[in-house]
Amino acid sequence: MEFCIIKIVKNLNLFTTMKRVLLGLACTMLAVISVFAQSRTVTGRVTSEEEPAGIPGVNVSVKGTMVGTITDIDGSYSVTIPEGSDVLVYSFVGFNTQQINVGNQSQIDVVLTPDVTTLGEVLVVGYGTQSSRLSVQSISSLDNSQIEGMPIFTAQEALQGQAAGVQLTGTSGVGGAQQNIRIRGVASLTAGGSPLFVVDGVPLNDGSSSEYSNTSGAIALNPLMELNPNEIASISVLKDASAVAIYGSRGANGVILIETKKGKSGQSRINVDYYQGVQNPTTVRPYMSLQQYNQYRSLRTDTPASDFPQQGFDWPEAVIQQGSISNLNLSASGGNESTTYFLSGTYFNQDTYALGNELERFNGRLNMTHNFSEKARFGANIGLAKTFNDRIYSDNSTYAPLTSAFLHLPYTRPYDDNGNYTRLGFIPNLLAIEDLATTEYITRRTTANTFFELDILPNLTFKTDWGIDQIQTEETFRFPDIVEPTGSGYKRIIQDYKWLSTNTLNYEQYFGSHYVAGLLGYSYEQSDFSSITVEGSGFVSDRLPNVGSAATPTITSSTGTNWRLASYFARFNYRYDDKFLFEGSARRDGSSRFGAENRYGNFWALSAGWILSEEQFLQNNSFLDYLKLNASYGTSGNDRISNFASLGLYEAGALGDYAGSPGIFPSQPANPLLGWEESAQFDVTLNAALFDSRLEIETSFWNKDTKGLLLDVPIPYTTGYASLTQNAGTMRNRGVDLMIRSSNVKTPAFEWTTTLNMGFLDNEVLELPGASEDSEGRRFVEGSASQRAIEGHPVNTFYLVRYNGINPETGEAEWLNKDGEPTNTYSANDRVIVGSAIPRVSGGITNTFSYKGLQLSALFTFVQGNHIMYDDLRFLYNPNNLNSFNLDPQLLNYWTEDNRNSFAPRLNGDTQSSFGQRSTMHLRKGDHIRLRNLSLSYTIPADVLESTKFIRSARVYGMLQNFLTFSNLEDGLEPEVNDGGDNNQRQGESFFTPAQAKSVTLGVSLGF
Amino acid sequence: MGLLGGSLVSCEDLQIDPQQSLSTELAFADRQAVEGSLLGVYSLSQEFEVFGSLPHVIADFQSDNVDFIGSFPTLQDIRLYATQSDNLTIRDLWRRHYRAILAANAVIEFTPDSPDESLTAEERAQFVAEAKFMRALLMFQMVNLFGQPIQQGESSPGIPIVADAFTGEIVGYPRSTVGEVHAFILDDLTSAVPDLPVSYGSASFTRGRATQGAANALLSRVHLYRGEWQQAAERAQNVLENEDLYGLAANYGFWGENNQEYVFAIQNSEIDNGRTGSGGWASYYNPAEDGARGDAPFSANLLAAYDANDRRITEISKEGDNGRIYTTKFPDAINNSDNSPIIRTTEVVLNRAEALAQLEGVNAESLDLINQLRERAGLAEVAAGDFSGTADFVDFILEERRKELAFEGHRRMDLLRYGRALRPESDEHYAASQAGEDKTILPIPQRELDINPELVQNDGYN
Repeated sequence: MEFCIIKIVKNLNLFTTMKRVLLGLACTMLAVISVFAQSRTVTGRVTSEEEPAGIPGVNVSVKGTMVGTITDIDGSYSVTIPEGSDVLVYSFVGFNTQQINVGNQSQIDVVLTPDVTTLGEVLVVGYGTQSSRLSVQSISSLDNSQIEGMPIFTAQEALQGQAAGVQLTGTSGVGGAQQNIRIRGVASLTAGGSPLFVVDGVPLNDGSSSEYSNTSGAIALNPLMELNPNEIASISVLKDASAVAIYGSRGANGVILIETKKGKSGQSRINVDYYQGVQNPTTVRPYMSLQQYNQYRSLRTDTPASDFPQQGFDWPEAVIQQGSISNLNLSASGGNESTTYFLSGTYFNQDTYALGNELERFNGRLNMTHNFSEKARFGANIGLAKTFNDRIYSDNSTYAPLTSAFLHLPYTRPYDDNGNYTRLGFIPNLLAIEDLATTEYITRRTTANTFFELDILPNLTFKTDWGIDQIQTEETFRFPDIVEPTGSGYKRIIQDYKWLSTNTLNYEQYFGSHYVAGLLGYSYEQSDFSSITVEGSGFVSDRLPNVGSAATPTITSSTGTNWRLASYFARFNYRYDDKFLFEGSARRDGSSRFGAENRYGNFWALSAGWILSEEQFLQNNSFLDYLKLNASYGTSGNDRISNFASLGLYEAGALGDYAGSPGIFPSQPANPLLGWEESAQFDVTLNAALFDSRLEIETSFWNKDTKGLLLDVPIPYTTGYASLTQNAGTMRNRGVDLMIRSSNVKTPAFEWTTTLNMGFLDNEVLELPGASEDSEGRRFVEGSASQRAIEGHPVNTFYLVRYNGINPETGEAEWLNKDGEPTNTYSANDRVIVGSAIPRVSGGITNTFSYKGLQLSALFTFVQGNHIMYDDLRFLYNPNNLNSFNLDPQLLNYWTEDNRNSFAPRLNGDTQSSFGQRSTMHLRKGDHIRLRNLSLSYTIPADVLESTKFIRSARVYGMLQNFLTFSNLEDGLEPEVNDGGDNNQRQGESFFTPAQAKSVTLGVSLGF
Repeated sequence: MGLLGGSLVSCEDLQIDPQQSLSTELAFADRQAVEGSLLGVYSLSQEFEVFGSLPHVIADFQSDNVDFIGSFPTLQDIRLYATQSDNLTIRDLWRRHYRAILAANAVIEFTPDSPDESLTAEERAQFVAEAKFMRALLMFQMVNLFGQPIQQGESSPGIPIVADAFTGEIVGYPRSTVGEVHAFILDDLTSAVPDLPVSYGSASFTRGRATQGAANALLSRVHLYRGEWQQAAERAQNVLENEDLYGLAANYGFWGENNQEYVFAIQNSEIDNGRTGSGGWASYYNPAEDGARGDAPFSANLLAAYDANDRRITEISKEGDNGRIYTTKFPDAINNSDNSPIIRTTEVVLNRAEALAQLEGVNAESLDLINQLRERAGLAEVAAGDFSGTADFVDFILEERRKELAFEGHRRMDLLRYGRALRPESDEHYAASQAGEDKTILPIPQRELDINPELVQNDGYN
């Protein structure tokens, strides 16, 4: 028997080759033994409606045999059919597989039709690819058609509502803010909750928040910020243990594999895509007008309103503007039999709706592969990016325009009578900041890998891959004298140079009905981080931008840190008859972050699948096309703790020195036993395709137990420390992922498809040994003043005093004590569990209607079961803040004899001073449905374009984003907020967190 | 092939040392490290929550010297006598104090055994004594905030006494009584005095590190607060006797320098101070246009206490853009380099004057001491005949004390130890601010109660 697999490889770049190889194999192997006939040769061409010139790389195989070939550059092929065979199978990624009875024909031309189902897909998995049909891993994948043209800044946003079991929460409407991604719940308390991002095999640096930026007031920026969505070919979300175990110590929160676009051999293609749009906030908080404020002040102080300033300024109106967004992408791809390339350049610009917030990004990418010979290949994927972020403070900072605009007293004015900026003090002059201050964040990033691949034997391939992720950030603040007297300047430059080397051996072979594949690998990864920070005050003039001009250098700092990770990994696949599927994987990781005794961790997974639809008993039905049952169990880990968490330390520097002499202080207690956090996941997945694949269903039932939670176990402050990082505690996430894709109507001209993705999630902290104990005897770890992880409850459980409203008889505010009895005075001991920040259900539903070239698509996303704490309401609802801040107009609705159902207590009553204190008054249910994306596009028919001679394709499109939100929230409260960034213990809280943007965009995409 | 070679790296050294820290074993390995560990105790005491103004401003907000025109909810609650036990500011205050205390404990415990033979026995004793002074100072500030004054009873709950270094074992310390805490503090201080130097080679150390003068001055304060007038007067005298080092400055230009006016001042600079985004000395007490928070201007009540021509109002205060009067004791709102005035000679003078008045009634030395202060303030001298008796005289001294030491954190205890309300009668929180009332002291942080069952909460916070 002869193998076609290796021959195929010679002409193509590795990525598409692997896809085709696997697909070809799948199709070939699925064939039934066929009849005997004479050996003969058949030639022909494979085309499609889109590619009448021929599709290169199509797999043409003889059913029931290992014989086959692929089409060359113009789609033509020639294949020798052995005796006894009579059926040719034509298969190619993205197209329906066709079978043709050869009969007497010697020339067969085939027109392939695009495949709209997922079963034909090739999945990108850890260190390789697999046929979706034959994979036993639980993976959600997106291709670029689901990303293209969306007015999004980063790739995460594309996942919203499009992958079952993946929960995305926008954290803020500030430009560049990251989305919080939780794949099948959060599997850690302190060690990060974000998945591992891997771009073209390079795990990204993800120390995105604290180390990277002076986050004072500005929430964490995005680790994927420098990756342009236009360059993405596919995104795979690895969910179950069998998928993530190969990433070992970093797989516990799931892994997201991103492949960038690659060139195809054939004619060079040039694409131009441009879109432009406008943006506004989804909602704006209510605030008192000057007149309302004076009225309230008059009531409170018994002074006529006419005694108060009559001239004011509308701060919120001044800091919220109509934003704009635009993106221009130019790309070219092509190649010949030995070399393929993809080249892309993008310019993105966004002026957000917040005053002074602007983003600009330049991306360049070159991906190429070259075949030295039939046996050796090399390639490189190089991505370069520079982002310029004219950033704003947000959330808990008085410099934040979208915070302080609502706090500025309505009679505070930005200009004096001469039109000069006023000096406003603690809550600064926001307009002066925008006009005169510099608040910049620039990143320069190179993410690249080069690889070399050699077929040592026809079925044994060696690959070595060298990857880098090099980041340089430059953060600049320069505040003028009017904002910070004498002026102040700040500069921080960070360099994070990471490199890794990955070396793998890949083997695969069929032995009759037995398929065996193996992967062995070693990787080594190292990151060297350094930063330089300077700060100074005292400038002669605002025109001097640099710290070097300051009279007093207040910070002169230089720091560094490193980490290393060495890993061995292996995967083994076995299939029988392409019906029974088995896979095992293992990884051994050693990390510099752990104590000497626990430096290495072992992770593994086993999984098995059964394609039931291949069984005789299911062959004879008219509706079931495909049915697969998978089960997997395995472990993965989490290493995201600080680099030296196991050591007892005395720290030097500004916090240790005294009176100009150097000093040190005890900063961290030792924990030599510190080791990996380990998640064990069990998953059962059912895939089905029915009614000619018009209906596809994928559903997973899963359970993920995390043991040895890396936990900053709080210890009494009387130890001198706050916490001890320990492997303590267990947490369970379990849930159901469901994907349904249905082609509701399908006629040649019109098609309506519906795709539903949803995840049900149940998170429970099982044990927190050594943690604090509440009055009920439950152990807990506090995440914020409002929420805590409590044994027997979710990790983000809100724990607050219950607000009971205004007593209509007394006019005083009431709370409930622990026993549920109303009281005017409560204590912290009356706090109870009142909800969780973790949604129980989240997902999205997409309806797409296509009529000829016209396509209308609507994506609704939904979230149910979570609560959100609007901490800022403590300020806006607080009567004590009279004369300090602007307030919520509802305070005018206070209790009187004639207004007994009021919002606020009686004026100057006993509970006025405690009315604003933290309670469920500031907590809301987060349930909502949002029209995330409504798009209408028109593809100009090919026959119209033909007359132009050079335009190959043309599409115009328009989109609405976040245009409708259905929820019970009052105006001004945005459900997609998270002021805790990536902090697992602080989710679902807002402190004036800027609302998401809603946008209208129009775009055009041309192909040449 | 370079690619291939580079790719096949197999070195696997996973042992990496931190670059900004030393492992604990090295913290007492040699002279530099031992002295560094000691200076670390002072440095931790610089912090905002320790001697970086927070405890002082909390005391001021509770009492009658300042108004609260800020917005920080946790401080607002304290101001309104509406504090809850989960108040995060109070939690952090507790935390930072014990961090410094434990750093001091490590110095006390490990310095005698440092292997560096070049460290003499005297030096070791001095380092230990310095750490004891700091521990006493820290604990006294804590017991005053979290416990009722001793006048409410020796056996009312104080704070946990933690005398040992942390070595890995987590101990849930109970609260000792106020009396026990005071005894511990007095023991630390009296045992430290003989081992402490009189002065150091530099002014910033003489004023900024523990000295015999500083320990005696603190002893004087502790005894004064306990009503042990004799000892208070004697310890004050021990300080004032050293006229080379300590004395009243001639005028109010002494602020910001290491001069005779300072017995002990935490040394701050532009690059090393306790200021945080939350506040700091200059931030609270200066008007906003200076780059400060401007939360704590003079109260009308305090303004009324000064004569119009009192230099303490004409020379060390100013009007802010908001029309409020602010002190100028901490002028550097830009860089927060002002030292923290923990013990001033003026306080020691007032301690002695008050203690002698309690012992002897209207007396010549107290009158002389008070008149020195009044002279500096540009006010007329007072004479024995101006006072109707001891109580009247003591009240007068206390009023001088208020005017001299305003904005330095003394007012609250000066009222409480005399059983007086923290607020004037006209204030809506007058009743809640009576000495001995629940919310005149702070709650034990709920976080500590949740984790350490040995602790009990103060009344009024359950």
